[in-house]
Amino acid sequence: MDEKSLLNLLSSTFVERLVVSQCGEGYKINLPFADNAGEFIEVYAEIKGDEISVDDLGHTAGLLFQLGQHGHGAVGHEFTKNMAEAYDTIMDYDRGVLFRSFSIQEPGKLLDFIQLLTTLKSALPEIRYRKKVRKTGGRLVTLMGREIKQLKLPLYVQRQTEVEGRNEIWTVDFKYTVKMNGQSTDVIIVTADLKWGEPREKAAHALTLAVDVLGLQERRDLRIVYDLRKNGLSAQRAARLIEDYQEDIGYRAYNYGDRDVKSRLVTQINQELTPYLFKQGN
Amino acid sequence: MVMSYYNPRKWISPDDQLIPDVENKLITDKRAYSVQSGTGKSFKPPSSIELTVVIKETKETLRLIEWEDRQGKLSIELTSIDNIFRKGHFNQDWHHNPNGNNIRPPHHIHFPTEKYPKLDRKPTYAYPVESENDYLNALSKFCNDTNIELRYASIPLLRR
Repeated sequence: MDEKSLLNLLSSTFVERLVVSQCGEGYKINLPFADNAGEFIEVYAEIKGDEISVDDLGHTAGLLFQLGQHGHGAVGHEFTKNMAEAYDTIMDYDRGVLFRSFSIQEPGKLLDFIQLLTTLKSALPEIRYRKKVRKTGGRLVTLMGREIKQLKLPLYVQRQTEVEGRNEIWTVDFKYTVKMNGQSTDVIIVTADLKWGEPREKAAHALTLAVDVLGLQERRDLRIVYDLRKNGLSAQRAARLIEDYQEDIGYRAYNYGDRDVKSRLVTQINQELTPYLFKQGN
Repeated sequence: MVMSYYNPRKWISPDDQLIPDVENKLITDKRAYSVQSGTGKSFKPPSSIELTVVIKETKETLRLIEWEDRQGKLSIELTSIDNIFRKGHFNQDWHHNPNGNNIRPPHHIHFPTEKYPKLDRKPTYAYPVESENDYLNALSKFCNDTNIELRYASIPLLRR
């Protein structure tokens, strides 16, 4: 194949796949390049006098939304922004389109816009968007807050809040109110971090808090959560203290290190708080 | 109790099959809730909606999104973290299934099979749907076929 034949082949391949059709007041151009889903990339062009305005019909914004990369700071959003700047193109946040205008005497700018779109439509779906790496370990209260997203509801769940007991005011880790059998009940969650410090003191603190907080005639559901996996003997004894007195004092104990118990607690919190995760419809 | 679900089995070749894990999640009861959107600047289509879908039994959450381009083409997707379970295309062109069946315009819903599991890569299977052309009817049809209750979601466009 000689130079001319190759050029003819390329030209015919491009031209055959290039389709221009009327669309509203302008034209839709189907480019000879397909996106990841096999759809041909489209450009909208409107000609007014000596000026051509082109946009992407909102497909880039749609793709970013589809990928969950539309938010400020997301990798896909930042990449699009940088590319748009480099190619002198405007990101219209109100209309959700990429567009630019240029003189009919500058057809090279149309090619720049096509290059921008084909790059974005090809590259954005292939970027491996890393999920946020979450640290493991740390304090039990932090771990719970991180793993049970329902506990992050600021309007419904109070964190590190004060609760009145019969004799003392106590700081508890989480507090929220649920309706049980038509009556409001305060759910109070206190963690006893047996991995750190003095386990017996932690257990003693939790038990004293339980006696005092449940000493008032309020409807309260107190849950003491501790974390026992391969901790030492003193932690095991402290855990036994927390477990043993739950019936006498009236709280419930949960070992966050036991997968089944943890799952039971998470399910219960989910059931109580999931309806508040979202704005309810009217 | 399954309220509604469309089984697209009849549209695929006999030597292919639906993906049980995906279909089981679609059959089971689900509710859609509105997502509290962030306050930051975002680049997305003006007619776009994002809902969180909770599987009632397992509390697993899925993402349901719908958006419209400037030509009025509607896309709806139900996804988990790493999979697209269904992808609805409304007011769009012909679709050609891998087994040679052509799905006429304007509406179809893509679904994954063992042989063609990725809905963001051609080829994929789709089945035709009957629906009005508008945003809300398309969403309603999509949710009807995937057993999602919409009444718990606050959708501003519903009030138009």
